[in-house]
Amino acid sequence: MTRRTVLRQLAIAITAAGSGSVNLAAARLVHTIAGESRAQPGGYTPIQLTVHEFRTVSRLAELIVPADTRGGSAVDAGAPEFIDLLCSQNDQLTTIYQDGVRWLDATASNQFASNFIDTSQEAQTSILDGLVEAERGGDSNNYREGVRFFSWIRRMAVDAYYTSPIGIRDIGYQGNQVLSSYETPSEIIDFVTRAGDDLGL
Amino acid sequence: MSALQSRSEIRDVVVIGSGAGGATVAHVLTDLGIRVTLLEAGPMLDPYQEFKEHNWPYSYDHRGAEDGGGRYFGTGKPFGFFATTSGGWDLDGEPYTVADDTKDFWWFRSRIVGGRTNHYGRMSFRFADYDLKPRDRDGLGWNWPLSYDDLSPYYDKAEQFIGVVGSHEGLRSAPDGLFHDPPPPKAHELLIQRASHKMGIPCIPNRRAVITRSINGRPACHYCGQCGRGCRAGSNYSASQTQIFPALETGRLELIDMAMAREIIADETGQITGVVYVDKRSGQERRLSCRVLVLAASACESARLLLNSKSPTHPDGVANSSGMVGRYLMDTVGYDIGGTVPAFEGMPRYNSDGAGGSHLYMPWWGLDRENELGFPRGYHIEIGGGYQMPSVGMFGGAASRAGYGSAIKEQAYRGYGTQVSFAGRGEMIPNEATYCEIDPNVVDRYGIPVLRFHFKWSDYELNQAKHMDSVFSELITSMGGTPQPPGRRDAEGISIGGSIIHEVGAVRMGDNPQESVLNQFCQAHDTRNLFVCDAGSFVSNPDKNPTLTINALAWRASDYLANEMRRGVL
Repeated sequence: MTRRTVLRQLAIAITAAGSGSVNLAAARLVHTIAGESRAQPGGYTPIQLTVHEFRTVSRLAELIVPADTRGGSAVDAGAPEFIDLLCSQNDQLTTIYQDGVRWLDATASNQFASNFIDTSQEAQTSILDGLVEAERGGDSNNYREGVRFFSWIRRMAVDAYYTSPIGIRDIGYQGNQVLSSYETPSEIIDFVTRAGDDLGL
Repeated sequence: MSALQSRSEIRDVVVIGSGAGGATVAHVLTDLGIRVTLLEAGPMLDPYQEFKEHNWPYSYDHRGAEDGGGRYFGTGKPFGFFATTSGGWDLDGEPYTVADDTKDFWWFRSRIVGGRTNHYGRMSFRFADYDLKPRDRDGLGWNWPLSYDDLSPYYDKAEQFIGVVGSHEGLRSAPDGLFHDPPPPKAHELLIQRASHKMGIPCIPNRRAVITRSINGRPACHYCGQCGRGCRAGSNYSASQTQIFPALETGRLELIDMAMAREIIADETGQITGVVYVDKRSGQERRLSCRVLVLAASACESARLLLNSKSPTHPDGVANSSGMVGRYLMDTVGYDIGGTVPAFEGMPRYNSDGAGGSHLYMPWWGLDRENELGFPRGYHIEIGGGYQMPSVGMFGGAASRAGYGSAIKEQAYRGYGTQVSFAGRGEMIPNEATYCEIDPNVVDRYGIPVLRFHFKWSDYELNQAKHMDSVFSELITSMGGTPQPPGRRDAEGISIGGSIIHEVGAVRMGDNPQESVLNQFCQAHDTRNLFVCDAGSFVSNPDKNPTLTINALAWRASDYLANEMRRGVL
């Protein structure tokens, strides 16, 4: 029995158990193995997605939440691993990602004669532009089929980013502290006072 | 020692349920030297295992989306992964049903020591004097068999023991208590307060069961803002940490967990002699004999247990000669609206966690103006906003507006902390069409017949919800914001019955044994050695969240019960 088969069976057990009674021991084991494999030299080995799917998901995550002056990317925040892990526990999610990558490759092949991952950055962003247009009800029938997948990966890439240390730093959340007393800083009170004055409140 | 007590002996007091009511009874009675045996249908609480306080989303590989991404598929925990909810709207193997005449009813049940107090909102409001005599004011519903003066000393005791923050305001609709110093307002609350004052609505320091100075060995709040996850430090009220754990230390409390009460046993005179329960671990049925039985299983579970306990002396269920068990169930009127307020854009970031929940709230301001308002009873407003800990789903809207790329980060950054929310919590008038009964066709996994719910809002509540809509919209608009469509609600624009988790009544108290189940000491009219010390005894459901009043009524009942035992009457 391969490592992948073991994980797969655990994942099925978890999914089948339903939300009320997840097998915690199994869930923890999946987490531990996922954590171990990330620590291995050579990086993370996907546990559910194929290497090609994982690379494609990684590239998409990077385009959706890129590294910029605000900080790192969704890939830096662990989005691909997060997606792979949840897919390993949920067949429905796996299908969404498998179908999505297949659609993306087919679309890239039609337009640029290559898989998505092997096209140029311009080609990749033109596909994303088409998806955003289709999502907003624009006239781009070719892209309509990919919109559901796009909204899934965007949601999960954004979630992975903002639930990571770099995303939390970027957004500026300053809480989750242990304090001996609580004050609202005076410059904040001044800001709100001015806002209230401006609104005529 | 309690652990050595034989199973065949007669216990002094058996209490069923370890939430706000049962824990108060256990604490007060053991303090008075009385031995108590407490049954809880869930497991013992381990705050270090159960509470996720201070944990970051990245402490979990699923980031809070839950195993298999349950959050994304609508199958996650009711209040999110981090909130402590050992229980939920659906319990495996423990169903309830909703009658054909009812659109929907939701019933939240916790199965753990401390019950729902481990994670509840901790809003702690005294009933006002007029709340206890509502029929005298508008001719609707019924009066309570006690007055504010009867209850007030017990509010004092409860507040002093559990600890409640608040301020002295002198408002009739929101009686002052014995408060800990409240935390100062947060930034968004200061703007909301100005909008509120412009509309003539008071906006005062909130009253929550959080301590800001150390009491009874519990440290003062450390302002992580995560009360909803449960507080490992015990700086907010939970029945488990505040009452049950200390009561266990007296050596007079015997706690039996995983014990699902099935039936109350009465003798041929009608007196209660004990209770039969199912040990959930072994599946075995067990029996406890007792001098006094106290139900505190939650209003509806207590009604269910009474109705399921039929005998020749109690043909319609224990304590039900009036036929009132199950009747006049109530929830709170709920109506929530959020909005985006651009005035908060560009505000410097700061730690807005505070003492958990909001630091300000708006008590009812329309007293004696109900005729012109078009609905008879009041509501209060709970407020939300600030810089919340980032979580799964929080920036989905910004992402979809931005499309993809760095624009997502810019949108998210600009919009973070600009959301405010208002939650109206109003009084429902008890009505004939809202009750629970035993479903003749359905049993749970233990073979115990389940409850069937009937629920109906009347125009009183629907009109009140409409008023909430217009007030909240005006509050948001006056801050330059845009109200968003309300969240969870039914087609008529009001919360689904039961969904506010303030289900009260169904075992109500009263002076007249023909019209009520309990007397003013929560003691059954029919059987003197039976008490119901949860919210089942409620005659009305004022716009004051029920927990503090459950504490006060249970404390009062416990004093009475102890006195009756001392006198040899019980």
